[in-house]
Amino acid sequence: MLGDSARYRTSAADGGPDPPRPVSLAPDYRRRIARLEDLPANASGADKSWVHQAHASAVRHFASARRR
Amino acid sequence: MDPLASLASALSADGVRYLAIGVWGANYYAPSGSAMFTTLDRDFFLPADPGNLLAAWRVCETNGFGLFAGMEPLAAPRDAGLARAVVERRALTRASDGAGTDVDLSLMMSGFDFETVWAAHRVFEVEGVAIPVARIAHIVESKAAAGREKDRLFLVLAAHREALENMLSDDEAGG
Repeated sequence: MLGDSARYRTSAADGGPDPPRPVSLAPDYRRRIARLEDLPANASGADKSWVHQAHASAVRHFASARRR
Repeated sequence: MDPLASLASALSADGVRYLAIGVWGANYYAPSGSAMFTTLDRDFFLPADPGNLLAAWRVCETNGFGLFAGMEPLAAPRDAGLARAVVERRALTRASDGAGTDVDLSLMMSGFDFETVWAAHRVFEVEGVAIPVARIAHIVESKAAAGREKDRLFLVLAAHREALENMLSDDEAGG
């Protein structure tokens, strides 16, 4: 949701197991977040019923999956 | 009614302060279903206020949600003393309806205190219920600050999804 140039840098080299490593967000990443946030559809008061419906649909889909 | 919307309605009716955060909170900002993240975790961020936490627990129980700490049922009695102890430890409790709706009641959001996030939050409506949601900028910044593997994965996937959507849009624009 945030952008093809939403590059980020980790504070340590990638790889290895997994102590928490805070991430530094690139300026372009932040700009894209701001643009997403400013969409009219994301203004306070927006109807997001579809988010719950889409989630429920996805959960039903995966719950009905059967191995062949 | 959607069970989460029903719970949110009851929390608000009892004056419980909370904010949807995490991947679930981020989903409210998705421009379409294809940009959503499928997650079974719903994270609600609560202030470090034992009275508020106790009120949240009571609303959850009244609405058919069981309460858990880790894998175990939350200790009893679920009173002000227990709420103070949980707040002191910033421990997480989970509410579950046993039918797939689980809500983590979190007292921490990496990099942020509750009042800062609350001051800038948005309110979205689901089936007529107002749901307070943290800014997507705060959610993303928190994930960057936490830096766990799953947080880094979220940040990468979010970027790649946008890249794919941009490519598709370009293709459509170009015929």
